[in-house]
Amino acid sequence: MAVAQWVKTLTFYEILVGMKATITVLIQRIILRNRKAITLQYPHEKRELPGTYRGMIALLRYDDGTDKCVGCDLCESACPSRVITVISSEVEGEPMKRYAKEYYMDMTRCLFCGLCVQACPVDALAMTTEYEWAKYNKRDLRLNKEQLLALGDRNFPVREKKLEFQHPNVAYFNIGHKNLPPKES
Amino acid sequence: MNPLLTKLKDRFPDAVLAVREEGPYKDLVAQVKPSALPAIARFLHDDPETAFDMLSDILSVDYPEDEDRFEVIYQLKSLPRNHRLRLKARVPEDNPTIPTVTSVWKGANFLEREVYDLMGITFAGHPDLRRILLPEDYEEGHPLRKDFPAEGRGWRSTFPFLPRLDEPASPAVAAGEIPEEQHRPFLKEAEGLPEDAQPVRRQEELLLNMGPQHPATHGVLRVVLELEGERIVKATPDLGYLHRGVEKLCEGLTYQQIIPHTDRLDYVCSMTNNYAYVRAVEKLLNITVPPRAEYIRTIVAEMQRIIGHLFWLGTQALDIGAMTVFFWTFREREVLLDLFEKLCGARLTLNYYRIGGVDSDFTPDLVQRLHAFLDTFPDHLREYDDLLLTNRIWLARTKNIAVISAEDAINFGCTGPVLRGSGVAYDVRKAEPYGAYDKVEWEVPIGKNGDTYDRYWVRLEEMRQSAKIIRQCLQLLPDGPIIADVPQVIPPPKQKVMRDMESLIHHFIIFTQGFKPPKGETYCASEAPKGELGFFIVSDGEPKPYRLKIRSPSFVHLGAFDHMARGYLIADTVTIFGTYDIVMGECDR
Repeated sequence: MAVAQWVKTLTFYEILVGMKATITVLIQRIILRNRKAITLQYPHEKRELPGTYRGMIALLRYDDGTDKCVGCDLCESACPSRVITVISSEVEGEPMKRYAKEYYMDMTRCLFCGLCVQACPVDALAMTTEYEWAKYNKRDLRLNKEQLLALGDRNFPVREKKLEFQHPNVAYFNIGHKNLPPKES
Repeated sequence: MNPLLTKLKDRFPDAVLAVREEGPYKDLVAQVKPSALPAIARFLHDDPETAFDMLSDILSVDYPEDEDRFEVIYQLKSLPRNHRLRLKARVPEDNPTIPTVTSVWKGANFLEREVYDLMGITFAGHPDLRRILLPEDYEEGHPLRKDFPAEGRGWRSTFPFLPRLDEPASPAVAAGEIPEEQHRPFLKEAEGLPEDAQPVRRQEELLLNMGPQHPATHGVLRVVLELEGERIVKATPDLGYLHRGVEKLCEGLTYQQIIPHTDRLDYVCSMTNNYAYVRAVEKLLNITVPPRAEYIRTIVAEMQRIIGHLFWLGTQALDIGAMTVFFWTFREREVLLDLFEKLCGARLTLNYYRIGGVDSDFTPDLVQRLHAFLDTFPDHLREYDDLLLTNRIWLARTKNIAVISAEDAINFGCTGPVLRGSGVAYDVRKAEPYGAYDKVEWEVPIGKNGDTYDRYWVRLEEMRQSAKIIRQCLQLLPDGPIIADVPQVIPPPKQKVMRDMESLIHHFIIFTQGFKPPKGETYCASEAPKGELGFFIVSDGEPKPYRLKIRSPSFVHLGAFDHMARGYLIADTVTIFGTYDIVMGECDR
């Protein structure tokens, strides 16, 4: 036993075991080329992101181009870091319908937690897979409604169909949900 | 009435003002006189029937309307008896002084300093009562008092130490910070010496500043080392460089909104932070979670434990000088992070847990990928063993370094792998089972010597156990809902919101006002990869917590830093930082 220990000490056995693992990978990678590289050359190659990725937040539209947002302020109150400012107003000529006249998001403070998306009752908000939003001026990161809608148009080309529909319980929201109950007559 | 409380009341009939069992989980609470605290603490620590050998946490709550304004709360834990007790003492506003318990539990040192710093309660007899998280010359008051504004006092631009860009630079600063005559004093001293003067060998202790800008401090931690040669005589950690006041911040947020903020505590393992927090809220609300959600929670918490330990192994080895391990552990970590990304859309700040369940369900594809990971993971662990387990450099740097005995580790309040490395089989998952941990088979690995090598071995073994837990949980994973059906607390599913008036009302109320838990307090501990992570919540019936205290393992472990570092070399401080697995985001909160 002691002899074996001496031999191991003298031959740097345990270092060799470690080097074996390192060199095996090296040979597989460089000479045999049967092992794929794990690293990505980032700015040139990009990872494929899952659809559930929580990136920049966007405002969505219906297929006829009207915005989904009804200006209910739920996203503003759900936000843990007060990113969102909504100024809502009545739709002209339709006093029961409301929309967001102005909509601001201060992305410098956003936590990307997704609580606003969860809070939105009409699914007007969504999180995109965009992430490269570094700016030289931080004031550029306070997005207004046009920028947020543009983000939505860019990332969600397929828009939801707008249904003019009046549910007995829900007064005059624009509702675009799938699987809606049939209109009662 | 619990026999322990009866015994305490009989032993100290005058000093113990009230004893009660609180809440649906029957937390033991004893209200005591502050003057009798040391005697009671000594009794609770020494008596074999109570045996409260560990002080989990000390915190304070401010009640400005009450006669005795501040309440100091001691969370005690008994490892041999496996029970907890909450000791409470009230101190008045004009003389907020309470005797220290540092003579009973050494871990009280840092915890009492924190209470002094943030609430302004003086601990009579404390060996080193200074501010700990805030700067020592901070004069704005004590932030956790209710009359301190949540946005802070003073605007950033009025802080004298920040350079103001809109003002011209003062001439003293413009000419350089050191005046000309003070330049190069060492050369002057040498020039002033007579030629025949022999250099005198000075014998004095050297004060070395390590950090806050040091790559091995895992964030921003500064340690002032008093050295004799290369040996450490005394080490004084200086914390608070990453203090963001999360506890104060949480007092202004609803219970739901706090979940993303818990991600930022221990940013390496945010799943377990989420888990610890939502468990505390669920305990407060007394709601049960559906079984599928429990299993999913257990699986992702164990995935996070593997990620945390892989991250630890890589960085610890990198600190000591082994580069390869770092790359290899990050390879496996990447696989699991990809799974998280698929599951909840983020890689580090996950925000996956919800009060009463989880955010999204496992897909078959995800389960399959997780199985594939588990199949290859033991091989990868064997690779790390090849690199480190018997490597003589690794052994020389970790064996018999930073030894802490089991008694000391308990006395300092160490938990997690730091405690288990010393041979104490205390794991919150076994002692107070939660999730699905009592439904699967696994073991608590323990070390023998309490040195860095044993803690390394314990963590590696924990990864194997975690893989075992995940595999069993995946087999047992039942079908069913992933979130509890409590419409007053949990927002109803989106599909129902626009179809059902009641759901719409609940949805709006929960997101605008938040839910209102019953009045009461609760402490709930969970096993994070770093140790016992506890959340203490005081609710006054409002949608925002009245007080939220985070018992972070990293903070408590740093209290034992001086004890563990004394007598070792400077190079070993890096090893000791690593062996705690500290994350400063959690330590400074």
